Parts: sequence; C-alpha cells; structure tokens
Amino acid sequence: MKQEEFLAVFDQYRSMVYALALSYTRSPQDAEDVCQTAFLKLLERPPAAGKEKPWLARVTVNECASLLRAPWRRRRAQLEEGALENLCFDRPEEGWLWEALGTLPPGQRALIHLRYYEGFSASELARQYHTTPQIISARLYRAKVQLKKRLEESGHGTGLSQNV
Amino acid sequence: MEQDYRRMFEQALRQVQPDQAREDALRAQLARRWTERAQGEKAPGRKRGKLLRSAVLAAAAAAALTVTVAAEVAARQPVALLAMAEVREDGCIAFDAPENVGVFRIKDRYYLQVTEDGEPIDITGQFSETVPYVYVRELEEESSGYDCLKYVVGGCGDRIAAWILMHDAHAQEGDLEGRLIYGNRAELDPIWWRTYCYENYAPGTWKSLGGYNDRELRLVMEGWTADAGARRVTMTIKGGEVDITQQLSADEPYILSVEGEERSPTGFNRHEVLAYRDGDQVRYAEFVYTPEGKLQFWMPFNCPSAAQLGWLEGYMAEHGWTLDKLMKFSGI
Repeated sequence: MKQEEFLAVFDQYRSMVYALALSYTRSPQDAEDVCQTAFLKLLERPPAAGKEKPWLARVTVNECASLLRAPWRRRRAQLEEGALENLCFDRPEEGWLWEALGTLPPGQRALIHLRYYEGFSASELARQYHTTPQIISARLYRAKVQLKKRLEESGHGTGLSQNV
Repeated sequence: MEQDYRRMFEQALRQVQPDQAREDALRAQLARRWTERAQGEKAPGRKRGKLLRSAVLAAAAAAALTVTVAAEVAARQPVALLAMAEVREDGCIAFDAPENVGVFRIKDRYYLQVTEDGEPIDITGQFSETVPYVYVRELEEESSGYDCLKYVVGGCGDRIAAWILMHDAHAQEGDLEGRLIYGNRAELDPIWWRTYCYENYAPGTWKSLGGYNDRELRLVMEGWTADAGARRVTMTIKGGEVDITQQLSADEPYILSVEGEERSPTGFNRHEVLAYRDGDQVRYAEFVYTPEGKLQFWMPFNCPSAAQLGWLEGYMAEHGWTLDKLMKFSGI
C-alpha cells in the first residue's frame, strides 16, 4: 500500500474507528489509543483493497477488547469514571439512552453501534465476527431487549422510538 | 432505534471528538511510520516483517526442528505472522483469528496460543477424533462482556479444527456463541465436537453454533455406571436403568434397539445403543436411524480416540459403513 493510499484510508475511516472505539470503551483517551493502534496494524498488514472498512471495524473491536482486559487499563478506568457523565443532549431521552447503553456489556454496545451507526448488515457483521447472520441477529435482539429493560428500570422506558 | 441511536451518538461524538491538532499529529505520525517502514524494507538486514515471516516459514519447513526451537519461534512471533505463513505443504497450517490467537502445527506438534503475547501451549497428543482438548480462559465479565472463553480443539490429520466458545453470563440457554478459528468450516460437525456439545450444553446449542443437522440432538442413552473392573454395568435408557452386565462380551457388542421420540411422517426414529467390554472398560455408542433405516447421526461414549472404536467395525460393516467414512459423517 502506497503512502497516499494509506493516508487516504486513514482520512476516510478515522472517524469510524474513533467512534466505534468510543462506543466500546466509553473513554475518549482509550478511543484515541485504539485508533492509533488500529491504523498501525493496517500499516503492518493491510487487508485486500476494498476490504478496509470491515477489517478496521473488526480490528478496532478486538483492540478495544484487549485494552479493556489489560490490568493497567482497569486500574486507570477507576480513576476515569465519570469522564463522559457531563455530556449534553438536545432531548432528555437521548441522555437516558446514552446512560442505558453504558450499562450494557461493551461487546453489545459495539454490535449496536456497527449495526445502527455504521450500517453494517447482519451478513456483513457475521463475516466480521466469523459467525452466522442468525447469531448476529439474535445477539442484536438480546442487546435491544436488555437496553429496553435498562431504560424501563430507570423509569425512562418511553420517549424513544417504539422499537427500541 | 437507528435514528435515536444515530442522533444521540452524533451529539456525544461532537463533544468528545479529538481536536484538529491531535488528528493532524496522529496523521503525521502515521505518515512517518509509513516512511520508516518503507525505508526499513529497502535497507538490507532490516527487513523486520519479512525476516520474521521467513523465520516462521523456515522453522516450519525444517525437518529437524526441535520442539524447543519451535516453541521459541512461536513465542517470539505474534500469531498473526504465523497465520500469514502459507506453508501448508510443509506441514504448518494456521489461520488468522480475530482475537490474535490460533492453532498452529510445526512438524508433528500442535500448539494453541490463547493470547497474543502468551506462551503457546503444546497440545500434542491431548486431543483426538472423539475427544477434544479444552482450554478455559477466565475473563472479567465486567470488562469483556463474557465470563470465559473456551478453546476446543479436536480431530486428527487434516481434519483438525478448533472453536472458541464465548460464555456470556447474560446469554439464554442454548444461545452460546462461538466461532471456528482453525480448520475447515465444511467439516464443522466432527464427532468430537458433537459429543462435546452434547455432553456440556443444552440441546440446541450445537445447532445454534452452526451444526448442519437441524434436528435437536436427543439420544435415548442418558448415562451409564460401571464399577471397578466393570463387574456391574448399567445404562440409563429413557429414564430407566438397565443392567447389562450379563449381556456384555469381549467378542461382539451388545445391541439394544429402542424406539426414539422424534416422529417423522413415516414413523419414529430407531435408536441402537451398543455396549462392548474392552478389558476393564466398557465402550458405548448410539446410532439413530430414520424410519426408512437411514443413519441420521451417531455418537460414541467412553472412547478416547478412534483407536477405541475398532469394536464397531463388525456392526458398521453390516450397515455398509467403514470407520473412516463414519468419522466424516456429519449427520443428515
């Protein structure tokens, strides 16, 4: 991969990688670290041309998982708690959704993000996760059910779209 | 959901987006790394990436490679590099895995790497065509979303395969997630895998993981007991205990034919439970046939490897099967 091609991929997908990492780690600092690592991996072993987006998405999820497993990260996380608590949203419902998402396991958050923000289909996600579209659909369904449950538990079960 | 999520996340993103200076700095840093890498590849003796890969290739190809050297090479290299090594002809097979883990083979030894920076585990001889090797890696559920990962490796020769099973504390029964990390997906129903799923998870798990057979695996033999020396042996068949001590022989298997519970348009399946005295051990197997007499699936028990399946040869020959053919059978 030539330098200009590599930088073009960076320009095109940096936001996607950062956003996915933020949804997973919920830490801007960790998201930046993951972003850097993901593109360094792209440099080391680039995927086939045209496959960069799903490849980067998968690498980002893996890097986030590795990061959250690291003992030093867990210690740091305790100090960082609340880093995203002061975000402002136009509607209170969006704030509730943000909070409810924070209670889901990170892997579920990432899946929701890939599906509803990045627009990956169940088949595309199945290829990334090396599983079947049915299992992806089942995981998404479970994540949404949990999300709804968390919203209801916090007394904010209404206000968003019916199909949340 | 999509619109709510998108609107909410865009607002969050706007507030925690790195500023332009940081983005530019990262871009410049990556450009610099690209240049360093390109220069490194041109300079003789500094081909780091290719050198490592060559080392793996050479290691795999070297006939006199010792286990120590193999383990050292493996420990030094990220598995991703091993996965890149296209040396199937030389006996080293590896697949890239999303979690930077994998199974690889150097000469006649098999290794399982469960973390990117961990020591590979020598699993040679610890799995067979009927019984897998299982490594359990505990996780902190809060940070990973999973309780533990299980690495399940089984098979032999060119039919070795490995799965990662992800145990999610919140998952419903039968919703176990997993993926094949090594091997050929077309052969994902080997007997060791089927048996492992059957013995450890709820009915339907095997199917939810992508098993070809869309029927729930429901056998009539629910267990067995055998005291020391197999002086008294019983089997539990459809909830009832059957004493088979007197029927057991070292000459031929005892066969118990039982009607199954799965009803098809032409009748009920037929289950044949086999038991055989093999020294102090008792081997078992169950075969399930459709009402038309076609083999639907089978499963051996207490047979640690294919070497302990020889007692089935006569029975298989009667049904036009060979052991090799049966081991590849994925069910219908």
